[in-house]
Amino acid sequence: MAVETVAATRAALTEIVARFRAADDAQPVVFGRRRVPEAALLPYAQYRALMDLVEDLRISQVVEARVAAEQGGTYSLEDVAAEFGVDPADL
Amino acid sequence: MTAFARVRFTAAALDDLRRIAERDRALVVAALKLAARVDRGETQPTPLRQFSKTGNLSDCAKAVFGLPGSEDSHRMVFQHDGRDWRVLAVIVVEERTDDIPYLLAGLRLGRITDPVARGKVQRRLKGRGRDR
Repeated sequence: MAVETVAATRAALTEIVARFRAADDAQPVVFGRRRVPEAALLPYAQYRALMDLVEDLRISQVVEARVAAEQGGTYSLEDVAAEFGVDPADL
Repeated sequence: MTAFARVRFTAAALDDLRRIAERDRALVVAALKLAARVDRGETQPTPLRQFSKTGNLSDCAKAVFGLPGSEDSHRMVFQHDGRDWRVLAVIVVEERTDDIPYLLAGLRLGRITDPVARGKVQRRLKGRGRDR
């Protein structure tokens, strides 16, 4: 992937955003001083998709720990609702 | 016969709800309403993506909820046995932009131990020049 300069990226920012607006799958723009990668611009849809992956990774860690530690007993939705003073008819 | 037969809560998930109730009971009501919608088949949880070749989470899924009128801030995590759902966890999701620093910290502290997941995460972050 090409690395742009900060100046070139700044000059092209409007055009870059227009390209992102036109296509969610547009290539991200990586840029930095002296073309050393320091930052990236990407369509917001790509950012959201990336965050969804990160979220599932975090959840997976929780799930693996929970499954490993589980004792087997479960509670019905009615019982849980009753504990919190919620009428199941309102759910 | 109970009205809700398909969704049950593990003890750990019930503890999650108790902790949430200490801060905001309305969130617990929102969680219970979500569980009821899943029970009635009105909402289908989204399968979790697989990150590991060893840990099998193919029967796990998540559904989002939050306070009415607000952004969905919590996730209810289910395990499906082919017919019924067990709620494994009810967890808050921090501001989404906080996730990357959290993940980076996890990598540095070695909290992400699965080699496949770790390799994928490192490759994903490497392009940003922030890996280590």
